[in-house]
Amino acid sequence: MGKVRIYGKKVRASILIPILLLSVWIVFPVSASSSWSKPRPSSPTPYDEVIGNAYTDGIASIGVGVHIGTYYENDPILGDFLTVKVSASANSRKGIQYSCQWPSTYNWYDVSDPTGITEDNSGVNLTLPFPVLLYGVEYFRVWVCDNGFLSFDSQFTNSTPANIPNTDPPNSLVAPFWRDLNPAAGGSITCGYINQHPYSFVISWNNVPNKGNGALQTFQVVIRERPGGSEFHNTIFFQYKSITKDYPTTVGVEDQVGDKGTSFDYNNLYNESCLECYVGGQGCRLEQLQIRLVKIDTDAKIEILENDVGGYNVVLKSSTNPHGSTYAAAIKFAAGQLISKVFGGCAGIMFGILLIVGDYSGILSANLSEPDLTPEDADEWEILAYVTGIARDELYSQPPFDSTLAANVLWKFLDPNDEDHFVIIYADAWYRNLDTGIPYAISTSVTLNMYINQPPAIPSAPSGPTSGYVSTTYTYSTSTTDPEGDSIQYRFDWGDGTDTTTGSYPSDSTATASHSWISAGTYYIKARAKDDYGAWSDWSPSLAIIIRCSLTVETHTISGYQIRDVKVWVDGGLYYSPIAVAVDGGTHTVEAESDFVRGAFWYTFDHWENGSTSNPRSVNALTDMTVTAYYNKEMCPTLFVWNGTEYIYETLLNIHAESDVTVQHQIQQPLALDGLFYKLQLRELDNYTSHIDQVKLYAVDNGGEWHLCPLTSAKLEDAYVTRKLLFDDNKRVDLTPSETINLKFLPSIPYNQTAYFIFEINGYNKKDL
Amino acid sequence: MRKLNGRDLKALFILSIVAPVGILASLRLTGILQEPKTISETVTLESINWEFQRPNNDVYIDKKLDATYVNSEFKATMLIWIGAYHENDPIIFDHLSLGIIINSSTTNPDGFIENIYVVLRENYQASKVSWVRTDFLLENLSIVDLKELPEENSVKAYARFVGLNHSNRANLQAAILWKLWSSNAQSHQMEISCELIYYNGTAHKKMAQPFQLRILGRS
Repeated sequence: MGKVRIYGKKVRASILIPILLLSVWIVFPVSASSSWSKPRPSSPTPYDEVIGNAYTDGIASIGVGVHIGTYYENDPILGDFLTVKVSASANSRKGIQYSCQWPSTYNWYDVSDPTGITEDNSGVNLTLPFPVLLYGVEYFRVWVCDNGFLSFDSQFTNSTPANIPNTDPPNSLVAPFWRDLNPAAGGSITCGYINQHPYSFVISWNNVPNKGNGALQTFQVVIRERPGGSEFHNTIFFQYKSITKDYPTTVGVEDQVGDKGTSFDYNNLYNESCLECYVGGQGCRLEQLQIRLVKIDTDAKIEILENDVGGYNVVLKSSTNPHGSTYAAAIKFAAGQLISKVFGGCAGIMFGILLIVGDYSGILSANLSEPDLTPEDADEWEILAYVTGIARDELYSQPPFDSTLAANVLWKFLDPNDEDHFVIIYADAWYRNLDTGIPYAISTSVTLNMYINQPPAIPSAPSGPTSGYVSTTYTYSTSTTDPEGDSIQYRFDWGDGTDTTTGSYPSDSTATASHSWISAGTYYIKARAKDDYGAWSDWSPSLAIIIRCSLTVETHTISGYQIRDVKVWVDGGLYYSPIAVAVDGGTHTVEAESDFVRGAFWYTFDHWENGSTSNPRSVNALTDMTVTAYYNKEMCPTLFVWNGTEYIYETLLNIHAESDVTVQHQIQQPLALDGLFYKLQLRELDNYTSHIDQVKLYAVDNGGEWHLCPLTSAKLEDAYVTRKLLFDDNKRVDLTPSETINLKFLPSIPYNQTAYFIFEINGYNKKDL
Repeated sequence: MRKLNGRDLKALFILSIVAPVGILASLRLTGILQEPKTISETVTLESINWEFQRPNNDVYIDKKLDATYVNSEFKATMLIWIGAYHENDPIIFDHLSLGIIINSSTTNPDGFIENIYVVLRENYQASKVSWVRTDFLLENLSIVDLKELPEENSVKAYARFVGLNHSNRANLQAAILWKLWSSNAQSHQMEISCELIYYNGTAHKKMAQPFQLRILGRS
């Protein structure tokens, strides 16, 4: 808090402000202040907003209106400033009260000028022969309604009388006899100016029938011209020549907004009587209007643009000698000091005489005349700026009932956007009861606040799943508060180079956002918050999420058919194809079974879907992916063994090769003797031919020694091919599809000493799947 | 009310002499009452012109037009600083912020700056000039007359400063708002004249530096 300069001395503003504010409360009855509060922007910002406040003490009313224009940042000449238009508007109409005198002197006027009203529920607009002051507003025209009333602000033709006061229209009402009348059925409505004392304007309803029963009504309103100038209200007379009391009727006067009025019970009226409505005395009138801007900080200035000051019913006369007011103040101050401290009151008079007789009395007397408009800026060390206008009726140059003063203001900020500023804008009105001479003052105010916006607090770490899968959407939440209670937008950083900005949330409420990741990996989710004015918080703590992908392993034949239940290993774990395994992002080892027999076929691994023949292989899995092992499906001779009752499938003998290969196979099925022989079969089931050169059967004893069982016969269909199969030579048996070779071997060791059998085949099959 | 005693009357007598004399002295010192000066020489410098296409939005211009006048007895630098053009302010409408900076000095120890006069003229009526009084910075100068005139006047504003204490150095900084109450198609032309009267030790001389600012309407 800085210091304020008062009479050349610096005083701490912290001491002065309470005194100043207290003085405002002591001097003026005031309303509670309305407020406008915005964070100070960092760039030019148009506001174009209006705020106001009003107060009434029941006699007068005061209003302040503030139009906030645009905030400018870093203007090279003026720096940072806000444009503001301030207006103060006051009136003293609330204290106006009409009284009724009953009965008054009845003096019927015969007037004959036609008003032109001949229709039911109709009216005309008449020019008044003299201004009429009604509830403090001066009128020059009046609307006359056939239904027995006058309205001064706009035309109404209501046929149903309403109670007075009543905020519903018609207002600005003078109602001598408001009921449903029908001039279309007869009678006349006439008017006329009585051009002799007492000068009056008369509107007369002559034998106008009730709409309901046709009973004739004759009455008139007489508006008396003001005898004493503008400061008095016109007296209004209601005269009743011939009326009936058969329908509800409103009699009285009402103000412009319908909140004040004076009515008279029509049941008390009688024929040839007069009711007088008048405002006693001159009432309360405005004397002075002031706009006062009070700031407390020293890093701001208030500049009232002097040639942008205007008003209504207020005298705006600039001083012809601007420094005259300075002299006037100084001399008055000096005189005041003399009067109060040195010599008493008499010396002040003497001092004045001394000034007047001097050579420069002309100049000084001019300077001593206070200008009617007194603008005063507030520099950085001052707390008060103001503009004051003398309230004067623009027509009569007398204290008016209403007055308005407006000024354009620059509110300038000197700090580098790091201080809060506020200014209280008061509208002050001084008014006086002209009848009693008692002065009054009222005030109302608006507070403008430009504060340094604080960003929201750091949001909580996002809350939500900590693991998941690629391409799956997950939802996370966070929350925080804004120091000023502003709405908050959140930005979620998903850790993958993308982010999401939410819509606005109220402060201290939970915000959510959803995201899916396209690659496996570990991601760190964090959030930050932004308030309505663009201030960002720091980033929240992060939440880690592990996103896995799906690694699918399939097995197919080369021709594209899927093979199921083939052993595959992913990172050493055994699975059966097809399998989808959730894996972390990164490198994984996938292995497919190298070969296997399925039914009558032999499958051997050939390659992967990417052409690689490396098995196992490395897979870099970042997103869902499928690897496929392709297998050769091979068809070689199939071995069947006699189990004592039938030939049963033993195995497929893989002699798939370009030339002779030897394959040994340990017989798994129980091989039984059929008489003297072991019987086996070689069958060819596919569409290709096996070229078989030699077959052998070994009986292996319990000691592991192999004993060759002699081949005694080999019969292909009806032909013996024993010799071709006995030796490893160039003589082969071509076993074509669907053919079978029946083999018989003699035991080489006793059956009960045989641990197992080994069948050996030599030959080749060039089939290539 | 008590009666005046002899002591009071004595004080009053002294005061009746001191007060008028003091006031006379202060008026003379502050330049309000001046003796007529004879200007022995007037130098009017060539106008410095600036032109600007009226934009449809806020524009930070930050352009300085400066002039320096130097002779053996006097030096003056005059600068018109064109700040920013602001469009469509709800309160003061289109406006331009301007700064006026004048630094002057005399070389002769007996010389001094007599006064400085700045006047802003524009013939087009829909414009006004406002002095930004809280931004005035004066050194060895006092404001004698500071005026903003209604829009119908061709002289929109003027300021008259008087040198203080016969100082041979006087500086001023002033800020103004040039408010344009016209459509963007309207051109404006402001003439700013900075006039300085100085005393070189033997005679009063005057120099004047005109500036012309043109804002070209946008069709």
